[in-house]
Amino acid sequence: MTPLPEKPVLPPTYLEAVRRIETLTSEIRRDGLSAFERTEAAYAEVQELRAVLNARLLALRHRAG
Amino acid sequence: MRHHQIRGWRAAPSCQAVTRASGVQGTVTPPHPPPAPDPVRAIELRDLLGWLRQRLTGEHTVRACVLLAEPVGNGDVLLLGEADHASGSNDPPRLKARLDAAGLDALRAERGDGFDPATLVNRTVVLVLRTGLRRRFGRGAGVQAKVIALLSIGESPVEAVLDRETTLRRLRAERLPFGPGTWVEPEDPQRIAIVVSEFGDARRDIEHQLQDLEAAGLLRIDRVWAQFEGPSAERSLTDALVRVAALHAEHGLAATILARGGGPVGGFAPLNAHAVAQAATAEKVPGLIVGLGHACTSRTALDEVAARCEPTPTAAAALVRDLVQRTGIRASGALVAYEAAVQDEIEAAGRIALARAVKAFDEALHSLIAEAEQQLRSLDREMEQSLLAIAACAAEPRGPAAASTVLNVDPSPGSMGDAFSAEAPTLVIAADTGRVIAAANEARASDRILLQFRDGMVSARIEPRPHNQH
Repeated sequence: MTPLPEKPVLPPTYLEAVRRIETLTSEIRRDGLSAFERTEAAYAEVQELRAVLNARLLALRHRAG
Repeated sequence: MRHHQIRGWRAAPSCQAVTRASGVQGTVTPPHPPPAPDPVRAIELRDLLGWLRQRLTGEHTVRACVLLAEPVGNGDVLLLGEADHASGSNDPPRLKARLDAAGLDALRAERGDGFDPATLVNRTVVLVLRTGLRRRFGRGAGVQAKVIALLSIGESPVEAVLDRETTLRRLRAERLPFGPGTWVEPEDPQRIAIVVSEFGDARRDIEHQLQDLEAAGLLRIDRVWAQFEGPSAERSLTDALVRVAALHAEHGLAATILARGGGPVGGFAPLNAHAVAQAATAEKVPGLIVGLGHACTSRTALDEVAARCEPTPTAAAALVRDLVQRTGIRASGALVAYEAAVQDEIEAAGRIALARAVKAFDEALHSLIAEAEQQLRSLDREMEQSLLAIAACAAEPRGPAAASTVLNVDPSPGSMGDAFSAEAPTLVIAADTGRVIAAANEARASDRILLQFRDGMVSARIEPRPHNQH
């Protein structure tokens, strides 16, 4: 039995990224330090979200420039 | 390139003839051999312009529809279009005619002071135009037209209004969702469709607004061509909307722009057709944005059916442009809000940690102070005992009253008199503990005490005595 090919892990879309970071923000505001600790654990995820959103901002700024 | 042969054109004199006339025959050598005879004779551009100027100059009585009236300088400019639409052309003719201040005054004198050129929009009028060729700086030559007289103004057609209301009534009876209530603002408009005439101004206006977003990959545009005027317009528009519905089902379009430029009221008739309106309802084409005509264009059924109705094609495209730009604003705001939340929580965590540390420090400090005080008290007592013991040792071998004395303690309070006070010992010390006995109630029965007088020390023992044995 041949193993199934691994699906490539795609970066989140703009909409997924902006929704996720808004959720994280509301969780931090609501749960305080415990949520903050969870967010600390999800540092890599936040970096990825930040990259997606910054790419959108960069594209818009390039277009405006 | 097409060559036009102008009828009645008389060719300019040849170069050879000119040289002969100027009397310098033989001194001018043609740079090239004379060209072979050509059945189509080329003329100079200046000659063509001169010919056009002659032909274009004149006064003409014209029946047209006023598409737009704009105040420019001291007068107005009327944009004229076809009065009828039998041609069904995708690129209908347009002509700008200037109505200067003098002409406007003449019209007001004729039709009343309240006459406003804007009231001519969407009306069929009969005008007298004076035309001519105008040289425009940097843009070559163009046709200029000036309004000389306004012979008649057509009534505003009511058929269009009736068609619109009939269509809307049918849609309501069919319980089809439509109108601004169906608008759901797309959060990330990545892909849209535009339904425009392939060669119309509306396409140019929309692409001008959105081309940089498309080039940057922020927006994908599916272009669906349609005819907006002529006998096949209704079918063409319906097919285009069906195509858009299929695109939406396949790709999930964020919005669809349906737009056309200005024109006479009759040119908008297909947009009041029931088949077109039905194909554009929200369940088939969600997020429909229409930009039909200009600010003065009458509302059509499609204006009512669309989720968003913008006054012009440019405004419709600007709405999509704003939606794309809002994604940047939202991304920026989300990042700032996240950073602020993390920052606040870090500060809160810092404050709590600092408060805990300060409290622990205070407790440790208090504990240290209490222990130090305890040790000082203990040391003090030991020193006092040691001193008293030394003093007792030093006092015991000498003094006339060195013998042990038994004192009877009267625990009752009362004054012993001044005489006794004069003889009283200056210090009473418990011999075992070294504690100074400052009051009678501190004395314990059977305790050995030391009485320190001015002249020496006496060792004594306390014995209890009943209160009634005096």
